[in-house]
Amino acid sequence: MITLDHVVEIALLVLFAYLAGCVLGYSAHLAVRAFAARPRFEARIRAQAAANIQKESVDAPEAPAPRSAARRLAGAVEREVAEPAPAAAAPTQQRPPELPAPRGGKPDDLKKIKGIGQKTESALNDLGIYHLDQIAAWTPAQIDWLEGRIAVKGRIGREQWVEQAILLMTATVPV
Amino acid sequence: MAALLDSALFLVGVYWPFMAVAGLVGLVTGWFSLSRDQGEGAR
Repeated sequence: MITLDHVVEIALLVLFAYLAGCVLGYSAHLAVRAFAARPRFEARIRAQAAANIQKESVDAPEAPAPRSAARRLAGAVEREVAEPAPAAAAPTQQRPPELPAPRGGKPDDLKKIKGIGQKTESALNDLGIYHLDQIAAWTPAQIDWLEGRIAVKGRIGREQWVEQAILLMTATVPV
Repeated sequence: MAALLDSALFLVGVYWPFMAVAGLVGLVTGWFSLSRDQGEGAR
C-alpha cells in the first residue's frame, strides 16, 4: 500500500531529478558553447604572439648566435636543401622566427610542454626558440621545417606542442 | 532523519526509472533554456 508520505517523497525525488537535469543541461550547453568559441580565442592569442615576435625580432640587438651541433646541423641541412635544386625546395617549409637571445635574458621553461625534454629544449634554444609564445605562433609550414630538424615527422602535431603552448600562455596572459 | 533517508533510498531503488526520465527531461529543458542570443550576449 502506497502511503501519502511515499507519494510526496516520490514527487520530491522526481522534482529533484528534474531540477538536477536542468542545471546539468544548462551547464553542459554552456561548456559546449565555450569549447566551440575556443578557436577564435586561440587565433587571437596566435596573432598576438606573432606580432610580439615580429616586434621583438626588429627590436632585439644583434647578438652572436651560439654555434652548437644542432645549429650547425640545421645550417647544413638548409644548405643541402637549398643548393642542389632551389626549385625543388619544399615551398611548404619555412623557418620560424628566431630570437638572438631570450627576452629579458630569461627563457621560458619549454619542458612544461609534454613531449619536450631537456634535449629538445636545448635544440629549440639553439634554433632561437626560447618562449612559449614563439611556439604558439608556429604555422604548419614552420612545423614542417622544425620536424625535419628536431623531431620525428608528425610528432609536433601529434603531441600538440602549439596547442599546449597556447594553453600554457592563457594561464599567464590576462584576457 | 534516518527513517526518512531509508525511505528515500527505498523509493529511489524502486522508482529510479521515473527519476531517470525526469532527469532526462530536465536535461533537455536545461539545454534548450540557454538560447543562442543569451549565449552570445553572455560573452
